[in-house]
Amino acid sequence: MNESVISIRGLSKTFGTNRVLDHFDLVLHRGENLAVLGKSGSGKSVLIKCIIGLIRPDEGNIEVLGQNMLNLNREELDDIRVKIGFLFQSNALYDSMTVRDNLEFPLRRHSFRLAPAEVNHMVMEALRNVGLEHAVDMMPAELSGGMRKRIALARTLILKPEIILYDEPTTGLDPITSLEIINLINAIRGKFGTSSLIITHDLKCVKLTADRIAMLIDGHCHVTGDFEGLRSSSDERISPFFS
Amino acid sequence: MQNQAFNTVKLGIFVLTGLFLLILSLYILGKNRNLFGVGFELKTHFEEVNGLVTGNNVRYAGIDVGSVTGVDILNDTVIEVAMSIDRKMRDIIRRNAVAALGTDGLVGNRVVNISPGKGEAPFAVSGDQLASRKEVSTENMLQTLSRTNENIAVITAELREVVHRINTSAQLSELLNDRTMSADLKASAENLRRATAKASDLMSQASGTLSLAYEGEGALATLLTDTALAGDLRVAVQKISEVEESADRLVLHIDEAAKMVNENLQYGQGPANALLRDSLLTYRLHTTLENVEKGTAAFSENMEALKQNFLFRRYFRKLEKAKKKETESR
Amino acid sequence: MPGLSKWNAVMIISKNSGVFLQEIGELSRFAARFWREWLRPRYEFREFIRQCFVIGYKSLPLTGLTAFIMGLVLTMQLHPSMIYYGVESLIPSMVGIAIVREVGPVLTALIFAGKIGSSIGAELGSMKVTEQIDAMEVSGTNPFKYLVVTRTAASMVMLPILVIISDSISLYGSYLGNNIYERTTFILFFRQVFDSLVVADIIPAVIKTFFFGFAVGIIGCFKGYFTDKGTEGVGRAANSAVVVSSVMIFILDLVVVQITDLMNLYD
Ligand SMILES: Nc1ncnc2c1ncn2[C@@H]1O[C@H](COP(=O)(O)OP(=O)(O)OP(=O)(O)O)[C@@H](O)[C@H]1O
Ligand SMILES: [Mg+2]
Repeated sequence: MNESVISIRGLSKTFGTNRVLDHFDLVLHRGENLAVLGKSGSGKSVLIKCIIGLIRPDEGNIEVLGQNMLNLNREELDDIRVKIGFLFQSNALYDSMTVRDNLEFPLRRHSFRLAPAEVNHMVMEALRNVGLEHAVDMMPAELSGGMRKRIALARTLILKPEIILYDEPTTGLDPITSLEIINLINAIRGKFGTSSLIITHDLKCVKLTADRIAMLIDGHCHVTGDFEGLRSSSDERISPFFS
Repeated sequence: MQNQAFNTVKLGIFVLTGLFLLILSLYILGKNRNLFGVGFELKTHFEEVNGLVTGNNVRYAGIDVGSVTGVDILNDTVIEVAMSIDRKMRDIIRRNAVAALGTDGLVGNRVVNISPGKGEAPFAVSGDQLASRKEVSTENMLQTLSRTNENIAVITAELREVVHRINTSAQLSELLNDRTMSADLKASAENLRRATAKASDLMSQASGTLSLAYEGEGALATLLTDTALAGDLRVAVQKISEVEESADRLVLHIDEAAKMVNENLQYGQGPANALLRDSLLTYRLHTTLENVEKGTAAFSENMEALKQNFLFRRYFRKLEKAKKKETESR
Repeated sequence: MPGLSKWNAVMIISKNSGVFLQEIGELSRFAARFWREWLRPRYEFREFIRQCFVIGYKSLPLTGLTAFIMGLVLTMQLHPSMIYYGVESLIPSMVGIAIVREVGPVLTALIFAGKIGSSIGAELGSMKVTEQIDAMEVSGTNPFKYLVVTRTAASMVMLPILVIISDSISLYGSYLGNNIYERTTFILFFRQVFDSLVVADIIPAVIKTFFFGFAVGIIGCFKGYFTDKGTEGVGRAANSAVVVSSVMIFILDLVVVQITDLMNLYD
């Protein structure tokens, strides 16, 4: 349980004069669910986009599965990205494509090695995992918000990643749907043994999914601890999250 | 997937249509320029080519048969033109064919016209050099016109002379007293006078045309290079020379007649009245007068022909208009 | 105060021209990236074909219609003055040269810029603001290759074909327009058109449409790819894609005319 899959040291990122991340440090261990808590606009999305390589940090060091993400060339980066699932806050479904094509898209890198039947099997299995097999030929615009989130999750799962980065998986969903998503997150860990970084400010989600919690305050990792430990904290910067 | 395949078919049709049209147009143009057809090469020499360039058409009896592939200066007076000719023409163009420069339409490109030569000759083969004919150029045309002008001047002078002689000849004036003859003669003399007037008219008109042509780049200058028109003009010139000849003959006849009358009067056996009753002389005089009439008629006819000639038509029309205006203003 | 406002104006101008130059620089980098990446595997062939269909085939009705009307109207407009000079028999040659050399390529390219430039700009712009481009990136697909290279290459290849077909339609329109006034046979009309043309008219015209197509594609992609400020930015991306690529078409046209002039191709 102590092997680290992601380790971040001294990560800094400034947009113009807005210093979003300031010497941020974090370690994600294999098989754990780590929640990053922070208020809106604190730079949580920026943090995981730095991890996956969508945003290049100004300073610092990111190691994923033993590789330094900042020194990789395009091919190596693509190779490692296959092992990382990323659930976008906005889902980012390809709205010109059907659900099936959306799910096949990440498979394209391997599609020349996969038989059509095999591709179909993988798509249907991913949809089964999120319980939306019937939506396979629909367009994203025809889906509800919760369905879209689940399709996005299915797309993230289709390559069976070792690590999944969730960017606010439950934001904007009703409590029942968000519970479904939370259950899915836990089920995925149980089924595939993935390590997850869950970015959220939804307390219920934190409580039900996280083994460990990191607080992102003022651009750096303020504190890490478990749910109960942090809830009983007397720190005036932490307690508002748990009230 | 079904849908995708269908789209691909449409796309394929679309792309192939485009490529087909492109290749088709290139093929047509290539055929126009003989780019794709393998031809055989003929050469010819010109003194000057008047703006002929590589790619201009070569025609045989008016049909496109090839294109100019090279225009090279051999020395200060000889320019060699190389032409690529369609292979099909191998059994048609003979070695004695003649090449000439021409223009495609009024304002079109330069072309090389090949026309068959006279007599028998073997078929031309690749590399043969054809004889060339000098182009009927604007310059030449204007020179011909000048000469015509001069000729007309001479004719007019001679005609005037004839009239003068008729008018002043004592014998003839006596003849004119003769009742039977006088009307005829008077008419003839009148005709002659009119012919003279017409001739000098024509002369001034020709001069006008000439100066118009010399004035520069006008339509006439271009028109003159047109070979068909050149032919017309040549006919006109020829006709005018004919008039000249007939006028000459006229003068001779009248001279002869006058001389005879003279002789008869001097050495004859009686007065003019008697002589004139002489059947032979009367007959000769009559025919002479007839000739004079015919001559003047022919001259008028020629004048009419000239009027109808394309080149002068506009000028005559202008003249008529001016006259109309004048009469109207009066 | 006047001095101050003058200073302000200078500031605004220099700032704007700075933005303008920066944009040109970025666009050039973007275009250079296209040429760097388009030959390297992996090839997005399926997407390229799909884009060819969307960009090329689907544009044919629009460009075909405008080309037809253009040929017809051009002939009808030319007719009175050609009659006046007594050279109405030169109409096929004139229209042929005008359409093949200039009107066909430029008009089609402008219509193409309006239709394709805006749709590429809007499509990529909305993909950008809804993080779909990022999603491609993280799923191990190079979005530049998948989106930009395919669309730009497709419009580069499709526009010349569109122009060739549109030219033909245009000439047919001109033939019909000519027939309003006088009976000409189809064969004679096209003979006259082709008699006035040379290979050197067609080749540069086709080559310049490659550049037009490239400009429309790359500018549309550039504007879309770097869209920001949300949905509002999408509209702006589509709009400026059309404006910039239309201007670019004219600039390229000018350059191509200068070059062909220097090469003396029409002799
Ligand atoms: N591409 C960018 N350019 C400029 N500023 C940016 C950019 N991306 C993010 N920021 C800024 O970084 C800050 C953090 O943004 P981020 O999206 O990480 O917030 P967040 O913590 O995810 O908030 P939320 O919970 O609402 O999603 C914001 O102030 C935002 O203005
Ligand atoms: Mg966020």
